[in-house]
Amino acid sequence: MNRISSLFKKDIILGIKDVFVILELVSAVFITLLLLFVIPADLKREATIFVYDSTGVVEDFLKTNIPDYENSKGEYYVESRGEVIKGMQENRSALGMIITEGANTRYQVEFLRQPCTSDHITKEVNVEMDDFLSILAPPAGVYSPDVYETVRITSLQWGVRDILPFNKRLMPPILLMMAGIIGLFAMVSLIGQERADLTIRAYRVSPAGLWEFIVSKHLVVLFTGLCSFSILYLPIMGFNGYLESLIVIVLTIIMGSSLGVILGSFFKNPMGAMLWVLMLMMFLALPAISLFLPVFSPEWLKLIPSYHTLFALDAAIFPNNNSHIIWQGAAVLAVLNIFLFPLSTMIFNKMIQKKT
Amino acid sequence: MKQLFEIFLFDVKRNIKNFMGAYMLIVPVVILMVLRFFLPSVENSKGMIAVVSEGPNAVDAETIQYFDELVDVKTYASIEDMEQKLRGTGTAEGLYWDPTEEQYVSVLEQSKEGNTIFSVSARMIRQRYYQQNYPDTPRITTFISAVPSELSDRTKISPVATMGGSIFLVFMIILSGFIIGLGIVNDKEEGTDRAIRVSPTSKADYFIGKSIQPLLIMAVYTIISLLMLGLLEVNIFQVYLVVLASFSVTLLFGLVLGALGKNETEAIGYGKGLSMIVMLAILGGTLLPGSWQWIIWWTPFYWVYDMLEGIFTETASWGSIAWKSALMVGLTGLYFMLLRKKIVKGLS
Repeated sequence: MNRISSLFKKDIILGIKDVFVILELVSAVFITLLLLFVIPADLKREATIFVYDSTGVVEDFLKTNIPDYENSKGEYYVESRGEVIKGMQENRSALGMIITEGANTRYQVEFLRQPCTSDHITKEVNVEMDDFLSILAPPAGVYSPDVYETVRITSLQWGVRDILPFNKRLMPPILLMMAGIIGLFAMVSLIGQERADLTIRAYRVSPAGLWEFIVSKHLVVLFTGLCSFSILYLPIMGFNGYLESLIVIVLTIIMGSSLGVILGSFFKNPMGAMLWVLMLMMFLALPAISLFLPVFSPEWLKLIPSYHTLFALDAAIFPNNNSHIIWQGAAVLAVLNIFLFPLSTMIFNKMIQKKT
Repeated sequence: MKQLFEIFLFDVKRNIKNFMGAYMLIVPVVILMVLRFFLPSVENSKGMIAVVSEGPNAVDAETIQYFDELVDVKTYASIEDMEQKLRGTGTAEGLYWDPTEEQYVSVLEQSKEGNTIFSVSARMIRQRYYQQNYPDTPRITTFISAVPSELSDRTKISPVATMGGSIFLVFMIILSGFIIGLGIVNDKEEGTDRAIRVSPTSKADYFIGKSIQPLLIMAVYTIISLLMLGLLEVNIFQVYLVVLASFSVTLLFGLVLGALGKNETEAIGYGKGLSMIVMLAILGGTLLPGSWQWIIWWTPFYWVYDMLEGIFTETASWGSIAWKSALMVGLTGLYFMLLRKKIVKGLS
């Protein structure tokens, strides 16, 4: 224990001297300031569909029943076809819809697509609008009661969530990158430096074990990661969900630094490992797409460990009867670490013994 | 010129010797392959309906087939399994058959109090029933779908593919910057820089020689990424102009790393710090609405990302590329001037 403590002190001093620790903390302060004072919390959502409803049937219904519809769903109501087109020209992902009175039918729905819009969206919108207008058409819709009786709706949770502040929504991916996988970069450079300075050779002739050497490095990464995490988390979120997020981030840091140990073991030169580090960072960032685009959630994405970090952090930051997601995520990361941590130490021992 | 070429060859040989050359070839290809596999699945993502398909609550096969044409259908053995899916991550709706009431039940994860009408599956069930049972009733809507003529000249390439391509090329800028920076630090650590100082090689030869390899890598990977990500319809000359101009950012990135880093650990630390700026530029460029993107105008990476997006979506003109490139190079020059003393001191 004494040896680990001495090694930890040495590694912290080296980390500060090599500016690694300071840079991490300064970056965390910089990002926190950006999130607090620059990136707005009440960002109005960019329109995903522009609607011109000359009949007023859809617009009136939504405005009466769902007052913040534009902000929550990204549907914007405009006054002319020209405005629909203008909106679509400005946003390459936006769609358009023009609802008018039809010549042969009661309504005509003109769905305006971008050239890249998938066909299945058109089919879905067609069914949706047929149903919607069949219900809303004055005076009492066109469906007979038996149509409504074919299906009933139930919900696992009633009540709509408040619109989440934009700056806080960015927290999970930022915490993942700034604190969670800090060990990828750090371990590669810390181990690489020991190898370059040949201090690892000197260490090997001392009575201390290599596992103590690596545990000390893990502790440095954990310490720095937790400082970064707290700098980012507390000023923005306060203590709401702090403990749950802390558990998730600790497990993620251990995972990231174990991966860093494996990379650092194989590469004598940190430059070689850097390419893999950047690649892994990109790979681990991919599940963030699912966080911001929930409709994209294939099962295979769950095989990427950072998926569980991101969703567990999101559940901790925005509690919504979803605490099971935090514990599921933590459990997945814990199980992964049970294998990854000893495996990385074993690989490190083998590789160092082979190369020194 | 000869010395410059010698420095380039020296770097190539060193990278081949320590397998860096192989990594530089393999890693970007792996990233491109991941993107190639990943992007279509994002593009084709549909809403998901978790359907109970076994036991007394099973939804009939015909209905499942009807749903399958419109949304992603995933089948579950029981209501509990289906609800488990809904409580998990991602967005989905559930559907099962209630034999007692003889009606379908559409299950939502969360809904406004009192909603008895609106869900994706309820809409589909009602429409299907209505069409099957009231075939002679005149339809209430005429549905027309078209691409407006004002947008017909736009590319069919999806925003996801263009975003993937832009992010990859920005990533290559960072990678190239790391190669230059860590190469300089390596020379410092091994004393190669001192050996070069007593040789006829000038400082300019040294830095230009060090930049050739990353420039070639970027140039090669630009065309490979366009091929692999299906971005062949774009204006390749515009892409290469942006890549060439953005090499000024690579050079600054590399010089800063090389100058500030006394050893590789330090250089990597600085590199990670600088990578955060890249991350901000990408996050801002993808998540912030257009009216808020001024927040990240100060980072040259934003302009690289913005220009590449413009080119890949075939909306960029030569004029816009010219002024944005000039602005990006200008910003890079400004940062160079601000850091000049540190860079000169660190490299001398």
